[in-house]
Amino acid sequence: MESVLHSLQLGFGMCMTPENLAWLTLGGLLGTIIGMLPGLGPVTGIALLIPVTFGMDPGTALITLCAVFYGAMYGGSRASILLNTPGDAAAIAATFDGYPMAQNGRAGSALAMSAIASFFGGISAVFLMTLLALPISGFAVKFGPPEYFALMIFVLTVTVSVNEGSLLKSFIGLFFGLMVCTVGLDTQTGVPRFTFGTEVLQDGIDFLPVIMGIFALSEVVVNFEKLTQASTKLKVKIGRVWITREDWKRSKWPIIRAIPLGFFVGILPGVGSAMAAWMSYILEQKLSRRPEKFGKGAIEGLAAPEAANNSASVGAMIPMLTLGIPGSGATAVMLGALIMLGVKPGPLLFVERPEIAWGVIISMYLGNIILAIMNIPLATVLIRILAIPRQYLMPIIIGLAFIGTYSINYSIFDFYILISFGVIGYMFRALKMPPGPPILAIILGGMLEQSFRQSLIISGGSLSIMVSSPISSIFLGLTVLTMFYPFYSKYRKKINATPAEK
Amino acid sequence: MNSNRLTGLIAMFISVVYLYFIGMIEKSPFSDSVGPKLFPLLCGLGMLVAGISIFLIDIFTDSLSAKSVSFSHKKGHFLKSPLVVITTIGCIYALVFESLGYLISTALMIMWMMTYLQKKKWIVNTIFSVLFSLGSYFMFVKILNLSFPSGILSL
Repeated sequence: MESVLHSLQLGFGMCMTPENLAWLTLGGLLGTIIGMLPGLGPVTGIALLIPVTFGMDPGTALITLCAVFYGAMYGGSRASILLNTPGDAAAIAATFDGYPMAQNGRAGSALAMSAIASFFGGISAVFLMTLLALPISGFAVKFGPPEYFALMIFVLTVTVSVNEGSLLKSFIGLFFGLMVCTVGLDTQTGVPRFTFGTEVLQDGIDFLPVIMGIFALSEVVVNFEKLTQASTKLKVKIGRVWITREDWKRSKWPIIRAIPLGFFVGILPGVGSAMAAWMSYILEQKLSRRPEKFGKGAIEGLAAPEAANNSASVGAMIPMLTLGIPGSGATAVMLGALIMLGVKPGPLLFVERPEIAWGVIISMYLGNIILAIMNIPLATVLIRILAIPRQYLMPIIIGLAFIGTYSINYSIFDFYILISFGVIGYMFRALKMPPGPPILAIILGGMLEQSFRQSLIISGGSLSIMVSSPISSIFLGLTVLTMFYPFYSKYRKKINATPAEK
Repeated sequence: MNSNRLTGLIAMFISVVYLYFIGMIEKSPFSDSVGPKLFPLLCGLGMLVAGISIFLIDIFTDSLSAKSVSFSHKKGHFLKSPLVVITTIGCIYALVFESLGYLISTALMIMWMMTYLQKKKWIVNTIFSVLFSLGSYFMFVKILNLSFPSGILSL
């Protein structure tokens, strides 16, 4: 406990500089705005804002990107409540009761409850993170190449098997991402691979134009196609942005239940905030004494998923910060950005750069307070952003994507990478391929190959090293179970459906 | 063609081309015991197996659940579809970026896109594009110390 308090003190000193506080506030505000805009999820938001962090020291950059991430979680539900169009997948559950509340003249209460539940979800999850960060990173220090390899295989497999849609399509996306990582000089031998004799490909393909292409550019193309449709206008009357005592009474237990649920679901790789919000909503509907009110404006049906998705977004940062292995698209992009800035998150971050690791944790406490203040009194001001016509927004996104791409290497060649991956991202959407597996593979591919080869070098080429330690054996065992889970789930559904058909 | 079969065909094509190029990776005298080819080989084979599997499963189950792939541009207007327009604008932007400089090329790119979206509002489009170009230049170059080409403005 003493070491945690000492570490928090260290983090407090790092975080409480005027520069860091300013970026924390600005990051949270930008995240809220990005989260509010339909179609622009945290992944796109973080990727677009990475160039802003290029001149920063790593701690400030991490604080800013984290603030964008959980700011997007706060903002995501604004459009769900007012327009019935969620900002991202995690905010879909907020449409179920948030939008009916707004239609019933309780938009102000819905906005306030969303911010309050998000605040409690976020800040409690940061507290849980404070308790768990040191034990997990202490445990992860013991990991060698075989353990890391097994862990990464597990993370990638879970991401594939929990993604909606075809398992094989997810695998194809995953292998595609891994293939992208093999372009460039081989780090172990210096042999060029897939460079076609060009110098520009020798350093490999940077992840940022790839992510911006797959997410931002393809999103803009899809939005351009929809722009002919009539734009939605904000017609809801907001009223006073606060909740009644009755609202709080109905929501406090759902919030308390949603926090641990969201947090532990968030830690699991590939599962993410959207799943946490759904699970929490379903749980509350089952536990409720008035389940018939759900979907018609029950405030607890809004509070629970909002607390869960914010809690999950903090939980998702645990594997990224303590193990150096991201479990979601957003944390994968953050990890990629940090590696570009010369920081490698993982267990050693807590040993070698504790001020950064703990500074970020302290910033999350402060960030949640700032965001709650921003999202309740300023709710009516912030939601005006929803009225910005997309005709102006989409070219801005393209402009930022090109700026970000150029800023990495000051190379025009990266523009062509961005455009190519924009087309690939559009193809992914058309072919109904989930974007999560290739993104995670692109970020983890280099580390995966490195740990694979290091393991085999240690063992003299024997694959038995992968199961030589209990940790790697457990991860590989879980990987096998995860791979078969979708088949088992299908089989169960078939079995359950058969008697009904008869 | 439905999306499963098309995905399978594309995956098979990419993996075969990729596997072919693995054969062209040079041998290194300093190579470790694993070598630079094994990992790419596993990735290529993995994708090939997944591609063949999805294609064959779809044929044998004659999946009705997989819908046809739809690229949502209007028929007969492929060249005017957002994908083609944005890709073309992006490529031209890449070509002129260094010679015209950031300010001019970015303003032109944004204006072209705005004109594609709302043809009649050319005054608004021009003002918006110039403001974006100037604003982003100020933010990234003056505040964040990044460096963008000046192009013909430096003459």
